[in-house]
Formats: sequence, structure tokens, C-alpha cells
Amino acid sequence: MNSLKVAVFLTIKSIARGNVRVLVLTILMLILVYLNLLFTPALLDGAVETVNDKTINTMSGDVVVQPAGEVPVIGNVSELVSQIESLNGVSAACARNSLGADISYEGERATTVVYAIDPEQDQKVFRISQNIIEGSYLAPEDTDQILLGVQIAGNDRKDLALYSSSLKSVHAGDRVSVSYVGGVQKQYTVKGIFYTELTQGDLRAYITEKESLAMNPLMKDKASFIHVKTKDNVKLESVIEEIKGIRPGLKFQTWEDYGGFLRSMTDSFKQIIVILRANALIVAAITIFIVTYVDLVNKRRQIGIQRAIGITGAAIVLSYILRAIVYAIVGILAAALIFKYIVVPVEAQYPFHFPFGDVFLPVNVRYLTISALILCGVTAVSAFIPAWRTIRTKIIDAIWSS
Amino acid sequence: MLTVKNLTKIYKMGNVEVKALLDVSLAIKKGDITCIMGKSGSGKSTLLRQFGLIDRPTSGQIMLDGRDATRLSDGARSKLRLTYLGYIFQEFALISELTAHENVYLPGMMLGDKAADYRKRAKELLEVVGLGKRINHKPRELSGGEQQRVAIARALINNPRILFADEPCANLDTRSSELIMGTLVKLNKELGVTMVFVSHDPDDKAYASKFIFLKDGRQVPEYI
Repeated sequence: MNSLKVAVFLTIKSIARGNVRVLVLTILMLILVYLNLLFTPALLDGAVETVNDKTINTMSGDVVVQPAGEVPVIGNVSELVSQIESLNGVSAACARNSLGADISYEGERATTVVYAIDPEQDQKVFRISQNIIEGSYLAPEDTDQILLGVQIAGNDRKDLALYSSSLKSVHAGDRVSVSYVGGVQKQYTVKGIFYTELTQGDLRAYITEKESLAMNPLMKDKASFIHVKTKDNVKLESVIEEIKGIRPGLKFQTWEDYGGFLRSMTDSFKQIIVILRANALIVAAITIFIVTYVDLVNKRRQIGIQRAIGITGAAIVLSYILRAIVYAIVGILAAALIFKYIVVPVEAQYPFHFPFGDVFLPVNVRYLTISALILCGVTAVSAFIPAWRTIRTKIIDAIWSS
Repeated sequence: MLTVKNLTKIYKMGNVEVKALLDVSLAIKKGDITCIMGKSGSGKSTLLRQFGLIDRPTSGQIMLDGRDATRLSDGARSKLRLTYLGYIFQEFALISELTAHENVYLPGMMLGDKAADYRKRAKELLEVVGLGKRINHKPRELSGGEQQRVAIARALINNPRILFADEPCANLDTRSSELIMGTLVKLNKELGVTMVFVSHDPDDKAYASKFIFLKDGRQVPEYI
């Protein structure tokens, strides 16, 4: 207890009356370390969130229901969709039919999947209608009209990722030819072009269910997929179990399973986050180690004298640990304020643009807290090691061998 | 109150052995002012460091009030230094970030006394050594003699039974030296503190009541 009291006393005095430049530079370094701990992982987290959000809202919904076994479609779809929508954790559901097709326009050809949808029902699950950049979204009664993703249309946007394999210059109002797998050929007017910024999502095309049934009446009340949008914080597994209870024999995918192609990217991001975090912590550890070590070298004799007059080694080591923790706390608080009130608002004003959309920095309080605790721990250990080594030196060597 | 028997200290510097003390036996009595004298390299400071429990002897025994200090752990020796012994270094050994007052009361804080008590006592001690008006000055704002007087006050804060001083005037001018030695003698008379100091200055003989003469690490009958 006395050691703690003396340690606190020495810490306060050394911070208040020590070298101001060393104090400021050390804290500045820790501010940068903590910002580094927060910024890049937050940016990558933001990117992962954006990708996940777009996957859910433009391609998969939260749960995808598919036929299982040899039957390629789900029957009695309208009844099943109504039953699914009546479940507690579900906010909406919609059916989609997928049709393989080649689309051509002025000598350019592109292969895609055309989805037949009920535009009104589809809007309850997906946000494609909010991503129209030319023309307009489909209406339920539309026939001979098609909605194209920008990566198919090209839209004279040479900066698109897949522009070279697109139709290059299709705009709303243009007529395109579609050859469906199975031989049916149709001419469509492009009603609208959408741009979700998720490349895979923008490689799709949509027609109305009415148009699809006109080509193939046998598909009435049948669908290739049912997409389910759940309410917030609902466990997808429990929703899947409930749907299984309604209609056994179906196959289910969560949005994560469905967007498997994105998983490797998010996994890589997570690995990068770990590496960056480790780097930042190593920099913090080395900074505090050097600051403590240099101070101990300069005060080696003084510390020897403190021990000679009866100040315990524990008090001396603790004073260095406390000082490092104070540096860390001040650095963390300053960096957290800078991050929340400067970095995040500025980034929101001028967001980073990724191929899948604008990325915003999320402020994750749990992550902020954990990072702060880890940084405090690392600085404490970095101060402890040289301090502990110093007090293990014989008093006589500390005082008279300097 | 302090007895040493067959005290030997050998330093190893690589493969070379330096015999700093050889078979020294003596006793310090309560209330004495003892001066350890000898030429440079005779082992004076080494002997004082053994007395002050700052170093451990290679062999021999140090008895403090009947207790064998050579067998104590580092922690127990540290506590003895804090509660029983006072040590004044040759150099001005103060903590640079602390004021004179704080330097003096730090060992009192370490001992666990009440803050009001050790602060008051530190102030009184600084007045005793003639620094009552400079208690809030930091070491760099004090002269060498003033710093050494702060060190004396610090050595006395926990009421030590024995005070050791290792050439306390080595870095001081004549006037400051007289002031320091006068202060030590005054403390011995007024507070009854037993005192052992090291000196190579024959003039300092005037302040001592007992003498230990060393030559080449051995105790000799008289200073040569």
C-alpha cells in the first residue's frame, strides 16, 4: 500500500515536472498509434459492412429459400410467401425466377441471368428501385420492358469494372435482344438502368413476372428462389427452422452463404485488420519501452539512491508503469476525441470510394474500449520490463557504475 | 549497536579480484561520532556501504543491535535502511523532480506515516539544517551545500538509529563543509543520533570522537 502511495506520488511529480517535450512527443506518438489502431480497421470494417449491406439489399435478402432435390422450382409460391411473411421475425418475402440469357445490342453481346420479379413485392425486400440511374423501375403490368444492371448495359461508362464485356452503350429507352436458354428470343425496351455499386449485383437484369408468364405460363405460382427479409436482431437459424416447419424439403442459405464469393474478401480484411493492429501495438510497445529505457538510463543513479534510502523496488517499478498508463490514457482519450469528432465527420463528408460503394467509418464503442485496454496493457508491460530489469541491478552498481 | 566481525569484501572485475576489505572487525557504540579515515582506495567507502546495507560482504558478519544483517533478504534490508539507518551520499543525491520538502518527506511516506506528520517533520528538519525558507526549491535551484543539507534532513526523516555519511563534504567549499559537519555534530548532540562518516581530510578528525583507520582494505591502528 505504501509502495502504491509512493508510486502514485512519484508518477504525478515526474509527469508534472519532467521533460515537457518528452511528455508531449510520447503522448503524440500514442495518439497516432491509437488512431492507427482505430482508423484502418474501422475503414476495413466499414468496407465489410458496405459489402454485406449491399449483398443483403440487392441480391440475397437475409435468407434465400431454394428448391431441393430434383425439382428445380418451388411450387405454391404465393401461399408460401404469405406464410413466411406471417412469421414473427420476418418483415417481407418475395419470389424470383431466374432465366439464363444472352443480351445483344448493336453487335455487342453479354451473358447474364434475367430475374422475373413482382416489382412491388420485390421492393419490400430489395433496394434496387433506389439505385436507378437512368429511366425508371419496373411496374407490375410492364411487358416487353427490361431493367438492366449497369455492368451489363455499359451505359458508356468506360470506368466500369466490366465495361469491356458489357453491351457498352445501352441507355434507358434503347431496344435490346434477349435470347433465353431454351430458345425463346425477345426484344425489350430498356426501362431503366440500375447501379448498386456491387459488381455482381449489377450484372443482373430484371423483367416482370407478367412478362415471364407470357413466355412460359407453366411457371405460374412457381419460383426459383424466395428471398426473405428479417427484422433486426432476429436469429436467421430460428427463421429457417420456422420455414422448415411450414414447408419441409427446401434448401436454405443465409446471406453469408449466398455471398460466399465475398467471404474470402472479408476474411482477408479481417486478417489485414489483425496484422495492422499488431503493428500498431508493437509501435506503441517500442515507443514506451524506449521512453522508459532512456529515462531509466538517465536516472539509473537516482533510482539506486532511492533504493538505498529504502524506497522499495515495487514502488519504483509501479511509478514507471503508472506513468506509461497515464501517457496511454491521455493519448487514447485525445485520439478517441479526434477520431469521433474530426476523422469520422470529415470522412463522412468525403467518403472513401470503393468498387462496391462509399465506405463510412463505423464508431464501434466495444472495439474502441477493447483497443484502449489492450493499448494500456501493452504500454504497462513495455514500461515494466526495463523498470524491473533496472531495479534488479545491485544498488552499488546502479549508484557508482553509472 | 553495530558490530562487524571478520568482514571481507572482494570485487571481481573480470578475472581480477580486488580485495577492498580484509578481515575487518570493530564495534560502533551508541551516540558515537565515528570517522573512517584512510587514503584513496583504502576501503573506507566500501566499509561504509557494508554498514549501510547497500552492499553485501563476501564474508563476515554485520550485527545491528544483535541482529545478523548479512543473513537478511533484500526486502528486509530495504526495510532496515528505511527505518533504522540514514545514509548521506558524497554526491548530491536528490530526486530532481521533487522539491527540498518532498525529497525529505519521501522516505516518511514510504514508511507509511500520516501525511501531516511527515510533512511537518520534514519542514522541521529543513529548519534544523537551515533551509526553512527554501523548502519549495528544487535541487537545481539549490547550491551544493544546500543540497547536501537537504540530503541530511532526508536521512533523518524516519528517526534513524545510525546515520552514515560518505565524504559528505567532498564536493563542497570550505565554508559549506564546515556548515555540514557542524550540522552533523549538532544533530548528534541534540538528537542523539549515532554517526559514522568517511573522510580523507585530517581536519575532519576534529568532529569525531572515535576513529577507524584503513589501509589497503585492512584496519590499522593509526592513520598513516
